[in-house]
Amino acid sequence: MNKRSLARLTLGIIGLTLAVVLSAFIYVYVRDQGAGALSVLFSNLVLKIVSIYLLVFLCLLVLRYLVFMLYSFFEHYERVYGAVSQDKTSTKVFSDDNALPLITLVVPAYNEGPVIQQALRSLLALDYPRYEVLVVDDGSTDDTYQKAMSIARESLRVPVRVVTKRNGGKADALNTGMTLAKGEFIVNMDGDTKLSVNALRACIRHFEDPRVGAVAGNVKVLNRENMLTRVQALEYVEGLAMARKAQSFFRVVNIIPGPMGMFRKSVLQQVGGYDRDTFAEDCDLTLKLLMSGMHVVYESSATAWVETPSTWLDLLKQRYRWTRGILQAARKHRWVIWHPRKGGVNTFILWLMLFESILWPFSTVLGSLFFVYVGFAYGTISLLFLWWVQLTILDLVAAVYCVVVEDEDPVLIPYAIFFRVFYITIIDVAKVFATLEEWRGTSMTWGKLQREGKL
Amino acid sequence: MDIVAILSTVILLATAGTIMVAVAAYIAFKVRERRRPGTQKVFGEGLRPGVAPIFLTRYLPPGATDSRRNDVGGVSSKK
Repeated sequence: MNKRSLARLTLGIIGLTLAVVLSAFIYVYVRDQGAGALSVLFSNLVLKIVSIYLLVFLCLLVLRYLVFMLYSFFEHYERVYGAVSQDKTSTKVFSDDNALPLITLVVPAYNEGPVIQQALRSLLALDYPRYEVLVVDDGSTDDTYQKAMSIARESLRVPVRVVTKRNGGKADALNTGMTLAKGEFIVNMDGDTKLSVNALRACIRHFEDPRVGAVAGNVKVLNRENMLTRVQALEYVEGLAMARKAQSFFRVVNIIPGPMGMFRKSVLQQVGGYDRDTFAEDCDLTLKLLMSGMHVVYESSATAWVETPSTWLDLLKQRYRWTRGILQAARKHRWVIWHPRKGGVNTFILWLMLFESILWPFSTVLGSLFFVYVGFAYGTISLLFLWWVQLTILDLVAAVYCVVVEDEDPVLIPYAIFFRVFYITIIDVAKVFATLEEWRGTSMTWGKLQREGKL
Repeated sequence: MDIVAILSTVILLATAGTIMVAVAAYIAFKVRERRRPGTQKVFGEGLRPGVAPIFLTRYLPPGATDSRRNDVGGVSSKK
């Protein structure tokens, strides 16, 4: 066992022990306090209603974490131990290198000058015999085009094409790439993404099942330079990867991330490519694929390293766009919410999205405000502490599980302790405001993040 | 003062403070977004003053006199 695995195991055991101790503490504390501290929650009707609502929400949250951990474990087990598929529709088409199809990597780029060359050089080193890179310069005003062209001239083994077009947004750039792609499969990514060497090989094998329309990659944070970016690294692993893995077990991943997604070109054309009426075109497209009956899976070993915002205001800008974009995409497909027979598992996916986008942030903000109010108004400060402890236990257990299973840096585990009270509170407040603005129909723009060239 | 009371006080103050910081951060974000130059389009979609739409060229049917361009549907393809 190497040092890293030992560190992971040690921190994992410490984390789980801490979670167990905290749980035992809550039980003993509540038992000993008896009706004392908790009785204030039922002293009037409003407090009673809010308390019961928060209790129900907490139960749903625990259930969500447990279910996701369980099914992500099943997915992980299936992948690692190579469970043989009994599905008669799948055939071993891509059994050797000669049979591997041509893949086009579409790289939409708008003012990615600081990062485009590193990103493209990482693409030229991928382990796959037949692929091309297609850079779609979306009317950049910096030197993105020139830098991409210099890489194109350098590349001898992998064909690199650079097309330039009038600025029309990311969806438009991706659709242009889809039209010009020569490959049977398309990888859509961001202009600042660095892929792992095995990404293409790892994803293509899923397409041996003809029902699979797309594969989502694993997005990880590259620039772990300060506390904010390290917390985001934990969030990506715990919040995004675990959820996608669980959804992948049912072949219903609801968001193929923009930095890394592989699609059948025919399926993309069938659903009409990317629409331009939302600010989360990746989510919108994935929902269109799911609604058309295609399976969408997740490949954890196809890693896409991205540069995340390293300042709070940039982070809020990103999360504001994500929140409103996801709500816009969900609203486009809202019919399935009320038609479970027709929608099938897609109905469940839409309800889950509404829970995570609306109910969850509203409830955690409500919980924090409620217990702060109770603490100041009634002097019962321990309730907020209990609320925080319970949520932290969930985060700690999930962090330990994800770090161990995802082979991640164990130093991320301690961040789970302060994840909830600082980071998630600020993000959830921003989500609540973003949801209200979306409901009011406030106008918004893309708001491009400034690249720092950390690739 | 027992440890629970101390931790509870810390969490209470931290949560209250964080909520205030969160609201302030969101306000700062909205103010910054409104003041950012270039969010209001001066003319045309995606165009800036003085910059001609150089990437959009007219499609010429086969046999047209200008044979230097090789554009398809307004997209210039270069390798």
